[in-house]
Amino acid sequence: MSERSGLLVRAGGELGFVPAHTARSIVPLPPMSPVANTPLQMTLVSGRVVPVVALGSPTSVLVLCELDDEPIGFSGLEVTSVGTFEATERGVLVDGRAVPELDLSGALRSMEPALEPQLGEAP
Amino acid sequence: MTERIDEASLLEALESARRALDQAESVLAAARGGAARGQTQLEAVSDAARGLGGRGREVRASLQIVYESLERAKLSSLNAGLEAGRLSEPAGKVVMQLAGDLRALIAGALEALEAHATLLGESDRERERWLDGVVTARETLTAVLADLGVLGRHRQDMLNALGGLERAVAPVLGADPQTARRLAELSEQAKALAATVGALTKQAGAAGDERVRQALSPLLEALGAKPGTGS
Repeated sequence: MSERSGLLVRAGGELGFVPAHTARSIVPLPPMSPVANTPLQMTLVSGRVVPVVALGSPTSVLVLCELDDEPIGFSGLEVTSVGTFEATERGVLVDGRAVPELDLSGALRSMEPALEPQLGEAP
Repeated sequence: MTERIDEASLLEALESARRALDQAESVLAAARGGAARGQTQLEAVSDAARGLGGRGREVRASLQIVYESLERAKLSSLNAGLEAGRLSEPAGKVVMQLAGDLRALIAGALEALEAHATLLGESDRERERWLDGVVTARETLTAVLADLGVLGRHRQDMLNALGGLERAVAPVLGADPQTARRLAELSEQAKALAATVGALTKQAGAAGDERVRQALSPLLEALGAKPGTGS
């Protein structure tokens, strides 16, 4: 039986799993600045500018992750637990219930079209 | 004799009325003093309740600081758990266990804090009800003081009326009520003297007593008492 360590988070009422090698830390939600013409926001964490993707209604924390060696924050997540859980094909098993791993890379990719420069706009 | 009894009754009634009015004044003064003291005490209670409100706000501010600290500690324990998840066995397991224990303790502290906040809210609501009660009591006392003022004026009216009545009955009594009362008392004492003299004359061997009775007879008759009868 293999195990996986990480966070259990609630996003939009659904429970999800974020592996410990992706989630770097949890910080109190800092002040956010919107990025013009994009669905992204930006914030400053420990002196570093970090892009932020909102996955739900704002909560009191920001989950800092690392995707493709780049820091990125995810807001709208409610952290319910951290620990080591029994691994499943698509996530982990918590109290006999399958909890899928959150597709954070997919969420980021879905925003890429909105990040590309639009015709007539400044580069 | 009937006329004297009526005069005595009238005098007694006038005296009783005056005594009752004097007692009423004492009672009114005591009631006014009590109501005034009650108002002062209610003011003190009201000030204390307002002070409690300020203390409640200070306690709530302290609880907020404790709450924020615990929330930060909870985040730290979650981050410790994440670090433990990245550590290899067996250190990872130990740190994960410690972080879990810490989170459980923090969760208990947060629950206790929530209970404190709830109790504080309830005590605030009770204090508000208490203050409402104090305001009502003050209004009631103010109304009582106003009623006592009205009673005092009524008493003064009755005193004036009694004075008028005493002046009105003075011709009937043949003197002012005080003098008439003294005369009535003298009459009662003469009756008692007549009874004593009568008793003395009936005793054997009291030969000189008849002479005393005869000597006193004009005085006793003038005072309305028949010697030897006591009436």
